Formats: sequence, structure tokens, C-alpha cells
Amino acid sequence: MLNLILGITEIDSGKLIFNGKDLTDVPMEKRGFNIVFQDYALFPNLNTYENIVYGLKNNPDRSTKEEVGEMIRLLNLEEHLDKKIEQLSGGQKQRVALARTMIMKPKVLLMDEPLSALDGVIKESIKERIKMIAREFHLTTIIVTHDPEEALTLSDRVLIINNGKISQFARPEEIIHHPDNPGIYFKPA
Amino acid sequence: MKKEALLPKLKRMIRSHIELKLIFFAVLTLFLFFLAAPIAMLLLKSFQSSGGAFWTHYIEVFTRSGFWSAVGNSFLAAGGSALITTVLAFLLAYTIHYTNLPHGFLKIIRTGAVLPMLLPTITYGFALIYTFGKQGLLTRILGHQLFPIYGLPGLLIGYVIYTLPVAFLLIHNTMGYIDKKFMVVSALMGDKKSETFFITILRPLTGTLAASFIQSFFLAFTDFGIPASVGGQYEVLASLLYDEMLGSIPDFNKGAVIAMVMLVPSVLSILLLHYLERYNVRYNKISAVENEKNRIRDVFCGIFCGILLVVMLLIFAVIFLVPFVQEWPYQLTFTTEHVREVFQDRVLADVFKNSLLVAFLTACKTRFSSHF
Repeated sequence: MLNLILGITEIDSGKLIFNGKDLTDVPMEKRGFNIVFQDYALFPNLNTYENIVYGLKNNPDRSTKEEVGEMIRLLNLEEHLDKKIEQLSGGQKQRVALARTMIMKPKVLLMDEPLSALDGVIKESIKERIKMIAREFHLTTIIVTHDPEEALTLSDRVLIINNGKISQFARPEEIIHHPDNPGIYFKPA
Repeated sequence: MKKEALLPKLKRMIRSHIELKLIFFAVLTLFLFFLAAPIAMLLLKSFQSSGGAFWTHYIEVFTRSGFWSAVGNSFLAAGGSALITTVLAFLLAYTIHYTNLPHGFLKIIRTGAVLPMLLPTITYGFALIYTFGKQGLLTRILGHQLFPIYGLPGLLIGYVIYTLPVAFLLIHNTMGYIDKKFMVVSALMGDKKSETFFITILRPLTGTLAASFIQSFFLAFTDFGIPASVGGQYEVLASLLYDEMLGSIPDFNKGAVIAMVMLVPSVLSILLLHYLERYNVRYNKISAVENEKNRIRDVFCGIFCGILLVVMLLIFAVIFLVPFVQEWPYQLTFTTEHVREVFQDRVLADVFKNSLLVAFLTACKTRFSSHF
């Protein structure tokens, strides 16, 4: 589904409408969405700082120097700027990927299983950062996950897709108290 | 309880280490006997002389007319073909990984590209002659000869066919480990198509492309089957070596010198390959990302690969056609006479059996050695 929204996969039927505009036939680069991948996809030959500002080389006015600095501070990446990607931990890489995407000021932020490669304290801390970023920038964020706990604790609204069909779309509280399909949530992990 | 369990564990550890050590020594001995010793003897032979200084043979060979031009020719032919092979192999691998052509077609490319591996290199020479030569199949079809096949052109084509499968396998394999998600990231960050291509495909493959070039280079450089058949007057080191060692008057000492000279680029190649290890693509979780839709790219790649494969298959088709012809090119009637003769020839049957046996044993030994 992320592929469809992003534009990697072509839409067979139906339409993609964002803010009243029909984006079904608009190519991926022009939709204004951006994505943070599950395995971060950071360029291994560049260091942290170069990765973060990668988008600015083609769109130099997208973010000002102050905004870049602000993002780096927000995600606590100041000390890691000179490091090579392979020297970073999973949580650090996640933050760099997030920073890189945020610098591009996407209209919608997509995240593909952002927490699945992390656990414990780092996981919780990244969760908080995602929530903070989304709120701070009033950014619509769509997160794909297999973990029901993640979905229910992180989101304002949860969309459940079962067997390729939409099963339910509601606030977390409603889903917990009035699940349309109880079997889905309480399957063993 | 703990102390009692420790002793047998320790014994097991030492035993397994001994096994490892034994295997290591076995493999080492194998290499010593069958690789190091012959090379050492070769080195000795190149210096050995009766009544002259130890460098006599080297001087003889180096001052012999045509030696250095042969060296230059070798480098030119091997280098040129390595370059062509790497480019072609890259295009073939790229078509398989990065286009949306039908899967059946891609499968044919994959099989066709490694087909030449099935035959000895001297066969390519003959196949070339029978296809492109003055009385060749293509020449007869077209009415005139496309290009002179003896000398550099024939060598280049022969070497390319010989090294293409190896280069292709190398590049095709590594390409499979490139994470296509980088292309999505690059496109979303506003990169032009050429920038995306460079940073997500070429750059990660730099080490592999270099390795492919080096590998193809020293395969071509040390081959003698192709120069023997289509080399013509274009002398290369391999043909010189053949002349010295197996010519009418064998001179093992001079032959040893030539062999040493040939060894130098090979050793350098291996060292370079070793150095290039650091540029290898790091293994990432392979995710299935669709290729971007691009009709023009697909058509261009499809046509190119199609032509390449047809040319290669054509060259081999001759090998299957000619045995059934009475006497090429004079009597072009169909016959099974030659086929029958070969199968009835006892000597040939024995030789065939020997080849099978040797190949089988070599494969076993190699499998055994590489396992450890």
C-alpha cells in the first residue's frame, strides 16, 4: 500500500486523491510524499551529515540552514554528523533516515515498519520522537506495521487491512473496545 | 558436576582442532605439490643454463625479435576484449535485473550468456572460421566477408565469447545484492535519472566491474586455444609459449622464461582483486522493489541483448551444422558419415572416456579442497 501511495506501483483501479487533487497519474517524484524505509537505505559512501542534506543538493531551498540545524538538534544527531553510516547503531540510523526525509518537508510522511528493527528503550524513544515530529510539524504520517501494539499506541487513527480488504478504520480506543474482527489482534506475535 | 562435564568438552575441542589442522595440512600439501612445486621448477628452468650466466635465457628471449611486440599485442588484445566483455556483461545483467521484459526472455538471456562455457576455447576459433571466414556460413549468406577474422579482430571476438560467461556471472550475481530501495530514495530526493543510475547501480558495482575486467583480462591473456586457431600473424605471448614448448624444436628454458613473464600479470591481477574486496557491495536485506516503467529502456535493452545472443548462438550453430555436411565448403550435401566415423573410432572413444574421468576427478578434488 505504501508503494501505491508513494507511486512506485501503478494503480490498477480507483483514484488517489490528496487535499482535493487527483494524484493517480502523477509520477512519484512530483507527489510531494516521502518515505522512511524499514532498513533506512542510507547511502553507505556518505557520512551522516551528507546523508541528511542529500535532498538539498537538488532542492537547495527546501530547508534553510537553520531548519537543518533545528532538525539535527531535535533528533540529537549533533555528535554523529561526521561518522560513517556503518558506525551508527540501529536507532541512530533510524533518526538519520528520519532527518533526511524531514529536510525535504514532505506533504505526507510514510514509514515502513519503522520500529521493527529496534527494541526495548530505543524503540520507545523513537516512538516518542515520531509522535513529536508529527505533532511539531503538523505532518500527516502514515505508518505501516505488523505490530498491533505499535499501531494502537502510536496513532490517532488505525486502518486495519485483512486479506487485502479494509477491515476497520477508527481511533485506537474504538478498535480496542469494539473490534470488528477480534481474531486479528490477539494472534500470537 | 561442572568439573566432570568440562574434561570431555575440552577433549572434544582439542580433537576438532586436530581435525581442522589435519585438513589444513592436507590442502596445503596438495597446493604445494601441484601448484607451488611446478611453478618453482619453471622458475628454476628459466634460470638454468649450461655454461652461461643465469640470466642468459632471459636475455635471449627479451632480445628475440618480436617478443616485445608479442607482449604488447597480448596486452592490447586481452585488455581490449576485457573492456568489451565487461560492458557487454554489464548490459546483459542490467537487462535481467532492471528492465520489465518478459521473464521467459530474461531466462533465455541468462542461459545463453553462459553457454560458451560448455566448450573448449579452441572450438571458438574454429566456430569463428566456419561462420565468418572466407567460406564461412555468414559470408556465404551475405555474399561477402564481414571482416578479416585472422589476427586482432578474430582474437577479440574469440576472447569476448570466452570471457563473457565468467564476467556475466560475476556481475549478475553481485547486482542481485544491490538494494533497489536506493533508487526510490534517490528519485524522491530529486536526482536526475543519470544521477540515480550512477549512484545506485554503477557506484556499488565499481569493485565488481573492475574485478570482471581483471578476471577477463587474465583469462584472455593466458589462453592459447584462440590464438592457435584465429591468431594468424598476430603473435601473442601464449602462441610464443606454444611454439617454444611444443613447437618443432622444444626449448624448455626459453619456454619457462615466457611462462614467467605471463605469470606476472596474472599474479598482479590476483593481488588487485584482493585489494578490491573492500569495495564489495554490503549485503542488505533483499527487498522486492519493482522496476520503474520505461518502455524505451526495455526496448533498447531487449533488442541489444537479443542481437548479442543471436550472434553468439549463430557462431555455435555452425558447430552443429558442419559435422553433417559432406565436405565444407565444397560438397554441401547432408551426411551422417562423419558422425558415424567419430563414434566408430576406438581411439577417439578412449580419449573421450579419459576426458570424462579427468574432469570428474578434478571436480571431486576441487570440491573437497574448497569445502575446507
